[in-house]
Amino acid sequence: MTKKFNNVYVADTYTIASIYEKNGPISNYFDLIYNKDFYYGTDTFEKAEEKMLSNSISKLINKVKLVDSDIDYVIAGDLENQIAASNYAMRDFNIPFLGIFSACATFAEGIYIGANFIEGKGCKRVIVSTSSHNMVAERQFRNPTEYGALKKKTTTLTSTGAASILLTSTKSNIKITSATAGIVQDKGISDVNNMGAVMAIAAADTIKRHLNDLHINADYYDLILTGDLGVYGKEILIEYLKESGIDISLNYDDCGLILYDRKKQPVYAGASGPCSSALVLCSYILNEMKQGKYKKVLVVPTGAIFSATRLFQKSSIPSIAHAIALEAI
Amino acid sequence: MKDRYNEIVKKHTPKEDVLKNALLVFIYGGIIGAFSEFLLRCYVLWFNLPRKEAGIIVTLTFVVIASVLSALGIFDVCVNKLKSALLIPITGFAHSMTSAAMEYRKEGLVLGIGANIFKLAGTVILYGIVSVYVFGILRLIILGG
Amino acid sequence: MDTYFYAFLFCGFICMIGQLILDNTKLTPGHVTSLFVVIGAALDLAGIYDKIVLYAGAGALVPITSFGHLLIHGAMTAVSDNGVMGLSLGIFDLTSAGISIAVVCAFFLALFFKPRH
Repeated sequence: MTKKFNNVYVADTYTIASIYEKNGPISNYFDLIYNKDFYYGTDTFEKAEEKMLSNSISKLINKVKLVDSDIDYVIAGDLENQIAASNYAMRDFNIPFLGIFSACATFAEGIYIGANFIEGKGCKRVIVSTSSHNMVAERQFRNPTEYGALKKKTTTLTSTGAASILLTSTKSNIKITSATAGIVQDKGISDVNNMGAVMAIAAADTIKRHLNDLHINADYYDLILTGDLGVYGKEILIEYLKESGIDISLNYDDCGLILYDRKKQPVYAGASGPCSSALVLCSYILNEMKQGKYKKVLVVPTGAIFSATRLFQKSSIPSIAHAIALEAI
Repeated sequence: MKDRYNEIVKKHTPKEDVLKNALLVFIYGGIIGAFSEFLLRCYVLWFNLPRKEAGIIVTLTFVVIASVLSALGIFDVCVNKLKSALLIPITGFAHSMTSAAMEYRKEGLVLGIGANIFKLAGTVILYGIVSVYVFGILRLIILGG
Repeated sequence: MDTYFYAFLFCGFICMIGQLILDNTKLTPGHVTSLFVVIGAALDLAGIYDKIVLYAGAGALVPITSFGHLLIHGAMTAVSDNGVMGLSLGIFDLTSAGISIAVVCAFFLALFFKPRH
């Protein structure tokens, strides 16, 4: 289902990134970089992720000179079990909270829901947030992938950081024009080291339905972005869509390849994690849109929504992708 | 449509450098093997030990070195380069225990370290013990002792 | 001098086989090390591992296969002294040092070091 929006705008964003992101190509675009270590001033990685997420929300509220009571909802999620980073971070705020989860597509899911709330005149301001932390993800999913575990060429590296975006009914120069909710896909792949292959199908399905529903072609957009398909997932998506008569080879890129520089950093196939798409969108892409480089952008983050337990029980990995269309006005 | 997707995936999934890895690991592993023999002879000379006991001290040396390097965060980096050459020897066993213990320390001595220290090493111990019993009893039945 | 050569060969060979299995199958390092322990035990039972140790010296003691070999060796030695009960009594005779040192090192290092990466 593709929903069109008439009065949903992006007021502002706040991004926090870490060491690997600082060494990447868009480090100048982040609001805050903490590159001392992975603890962010706390004593565990999990607490670090919570604090980054909490800070991204509080600093965003500060940035737009508002207070907690001005915000109608925070919609947030992360990669931790029970979305712990989000749940614990929201203790710091007096704002109604809706926790969501779709792995690395969480940010888009949040924007989809928040935009619908605002369009339906249910509220005026919604903050959507997400975070990820390399060490937390490694530790949690370490069951299928081990400690000094050998990474493959197709492995993508979970990024570390947090991003928050303020959606509002007040007009601004970035408008959310439409969004498409994803349908769960599963092609029977169970290789956690090849998430690009697992998730490309979800991006393909959502993009197809989005273009179909709006009766437009891929070239309607100046830029189409996926969240973290990595270099091989990107190739798979381009070829698979070509077979359906959709050509995105000229206006498509992957956030995981923008966030990290594969040639200079030891990042295998690219960046992954919920904040891969969120950091790139909120810092670099929105900036470029305001500068006039891109007018119409379609962001399609994908998520591998599996559980380690089910993986051990020989289930494959399902994926989902939510699409958000933005326009600079 | 389902089959075409998996074909396309296969086309764009790069092969690991199997031959290159195998060769590198063979050489690195061999160096570790030769070095351990060198250590053994040193121990025989310095501590006047028979080869059997010196052999045990050599494995202990590797356990300690691997544990310390794991604690310092160096072992992980080495495993990326040396791969199986570090995981297959006794160093891999020690590294799995030290890294597990370090990871879960924040969850407490009992529920953290205690519950997780054998997380990765447990399988080796389990199948080692089970195979001794199975093989041992089989042998006793077949050969009678 | 020969021993150095065979030590290099054997340890290198075992590690290489491990790497080949990891690269070509879906097995994890846990699977491979467990497999090798069982193989080491089986080889010792057949009397082969002792011969390998003779030729390759410490090069045969360092891979995880040696763990299986030491487990069986200790057990079988105790069996010749104590009969069937020897299996239970002797299994850790030769491996107690390795396991206990690994446990103690892991514990105390964990108390003083944090994961960094």
